[in-house]
Amino acid sequence: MSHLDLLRTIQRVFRRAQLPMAYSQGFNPHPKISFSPALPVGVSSEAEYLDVELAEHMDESKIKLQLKGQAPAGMKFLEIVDIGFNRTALNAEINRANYQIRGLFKCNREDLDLCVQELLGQEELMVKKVTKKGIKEKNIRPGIFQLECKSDQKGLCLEMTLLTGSEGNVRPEHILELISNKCGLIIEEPLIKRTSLFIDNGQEQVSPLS
Amino acid sequence: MRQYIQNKLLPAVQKPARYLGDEWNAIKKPWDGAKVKMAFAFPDVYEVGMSHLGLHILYGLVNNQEEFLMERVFAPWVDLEERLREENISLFSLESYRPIKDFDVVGFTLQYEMSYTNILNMLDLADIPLRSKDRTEGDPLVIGGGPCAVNPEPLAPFFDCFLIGDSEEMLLEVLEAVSAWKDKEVDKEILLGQLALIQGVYVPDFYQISYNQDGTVSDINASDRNVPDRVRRRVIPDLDTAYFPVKPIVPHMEVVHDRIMLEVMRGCTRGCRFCQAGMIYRPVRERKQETLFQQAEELVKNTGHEEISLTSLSTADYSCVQPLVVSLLNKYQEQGINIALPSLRVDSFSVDLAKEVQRVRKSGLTLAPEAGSQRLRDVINKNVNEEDLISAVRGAFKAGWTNIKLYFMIGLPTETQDDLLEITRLAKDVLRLGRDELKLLGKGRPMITVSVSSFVPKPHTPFQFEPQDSRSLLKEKQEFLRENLKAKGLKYKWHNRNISFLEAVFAKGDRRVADTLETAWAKGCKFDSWDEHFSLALWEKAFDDTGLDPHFYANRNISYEEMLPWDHIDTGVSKKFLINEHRQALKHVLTKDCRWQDCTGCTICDRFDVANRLWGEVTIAAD
Repeated sequence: MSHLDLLRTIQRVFRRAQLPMAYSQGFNPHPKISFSPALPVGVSSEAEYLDVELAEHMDESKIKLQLKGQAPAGMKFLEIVDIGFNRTALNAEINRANYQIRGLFKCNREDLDLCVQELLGQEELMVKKVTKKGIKEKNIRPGIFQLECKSDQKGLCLEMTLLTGSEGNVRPEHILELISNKCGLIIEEPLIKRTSLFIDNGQEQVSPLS
Repeated sequence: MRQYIQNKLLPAVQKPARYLGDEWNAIKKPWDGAKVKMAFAFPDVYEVGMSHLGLHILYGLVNNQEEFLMERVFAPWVDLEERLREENISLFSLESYRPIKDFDVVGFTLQYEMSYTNILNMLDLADIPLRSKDRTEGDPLVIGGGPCAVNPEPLAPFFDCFLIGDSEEMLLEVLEAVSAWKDKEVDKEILLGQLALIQGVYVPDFYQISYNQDGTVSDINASDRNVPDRVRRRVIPDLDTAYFPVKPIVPHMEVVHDRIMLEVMRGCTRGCRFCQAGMIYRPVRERKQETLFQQAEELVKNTGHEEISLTSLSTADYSCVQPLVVSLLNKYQEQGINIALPSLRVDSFSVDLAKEVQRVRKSGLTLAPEAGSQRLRDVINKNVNEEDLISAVRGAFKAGWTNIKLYFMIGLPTETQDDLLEITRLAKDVLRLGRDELKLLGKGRPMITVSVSSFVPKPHTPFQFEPQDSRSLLKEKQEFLRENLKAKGLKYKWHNRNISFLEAVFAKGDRRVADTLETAWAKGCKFDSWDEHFSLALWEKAFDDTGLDPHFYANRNISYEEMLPWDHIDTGVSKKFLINEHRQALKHVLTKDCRWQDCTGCTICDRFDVANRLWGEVTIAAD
């Protein structure tokens, strides 16, 4: 599902739940909903955030009750918080994303650990970005804050904290690309999951709900 | 299988949401709980198929029956097709991800001729033998329905039967018969014999076609069977009490018509002589305003859509349209729900309605004068004069519309250069009017889009006797318009004439073109309605290989006496009426709408025991 599909779906969920959305003024009124940084197509997520303005005040518990049973399979509303009116846009506020990648690791743990160390040791990690003007090279190293290989009962996985939001965006696919290009290690049929989004304000890491 | 496809194949294809299933309101019935399982097959991509109202109606209807289930399948886009073929994965349904060949019945909807190669491709992807004679009791029954079924002959060898007309009752009778047949474990032949007795069901295998030396049909013979000589189209007499789904599927992704479709009526008796829908969906059957209002309420609640479209062949003709629109607006406007009127007449009543509904949002306005000159509009029985058009357009500009789309056809019977000139004159008049009106309002510049398609003569219309213009003539006409529609604020769009040509061949084709169809498919033709996939060269080769002349079907004058490949399909409108209408066309004589004027003698009401059903007071003087 694309970000636009998600947007449309959320609006429909709210309408089915009979929640009175506030609309923008003007030529083409639309509901006042804003989202956390777009989730790439094909990536699952355990943590997406959205701000919705309602036309009238409602209690969080009532909203939650009305939303119950209205979301399509695979989507669930976890928490609802009243944030008032003057909050910064989610997309400008959220700047870190955690991802977990599973899949068929065509390599062993030791090689992968070494590769991760090597990547983190670099000052510059260039990846190709396809833009409207053609293919551009971009250094994503400053946008990688954490990267490690883990193993649990389900097998190997990669976990990482990457830059996201209006300051820039590093995609988890870029990490797979680097692991393949720099170390020759392949992870087939990767399943990528966004595990959390948060705000790093320079002093501490906080949840968007706080 | 679902996991394998979703994890392994879908990440590598465009728009994977096409194949996910699990949409809101999708119905997943337990497989073993249903006695007859049917796959509804739409021979085009998901976003086209999901915009088709018939799918939603039959999906809800069949799944409402305890012993039946229906799942959906669409034509996979070429990228997924490639993966399916590479990995030997059989075409699957979106609900259970089961192979289509596991279903008892596979039903294709026949919405447009250029989807025919996709039907063969889907059967092939499903590992189902293409021709009914090659299928055995273990294979699904392959059935078809929809507008193109009124001339099913080009598809006859591939289908076990066709459902002609409204399917709401007929399809359930077909599934009952399949259910009873499954208990008995007898030949498929026996089942087909049962099906052929259901009114509206056509089993092509029971009808022998013979041909004259000149290639025309000499006889359609069913005499050695206990089946009707002519198959009568099935008509639901009362639409108001007919089934309508109030929990349609809400797609994950954006589809072509991404909105609630509220069917206000079926049928149109305006009698435009080129229009197949205006002949084969008679009579006019309206739903009551209260029924529609109630359905709208449930649909909004159950889908969350932001727009309600009042659908029909000509919604401005719905006798309760004004009060319905007002009551819907009053109820839904403040919830941000838009009302849409997809088909407007060319008059100020329609523009006033559009003004009413677009209090919420503004988009372009489309009007279809169809022909540029009054003379030619009289030939086609498009009961619109220039005054209507100009006052409609003036009203639109005054109301603030800046983008107007005018829809025309070229290649209509009797058309001359003068008629084409009239298209360009009309377009320029509208542009000038727009400039003046918008200047007064201080509203910027008008944009007039002139969209021109090529006339395709369709079976069961008064113009079925007419040839299509040759492609070279159409090319000249298209170029003439392009040269003469150059102005700032004018945009000219035209359709691919080669596609229109093939459409004409298959619209009026007989059983022999089925071979060409299969050959073309084998050569790689598919998605023929998509410009980027259509290959005239492959089609020409297919005609060569099968020794058929496409011009015989598309570009020939047909005499009234000739037996037509579709003469054994009785839509209710008699051939005598079509002949008479064709004669009137050549004499430039108009035929009035029987809703508001006298009976025009199409014979359906008497012969099929039906009637126009209008619920509102007739306050709209149509002419």
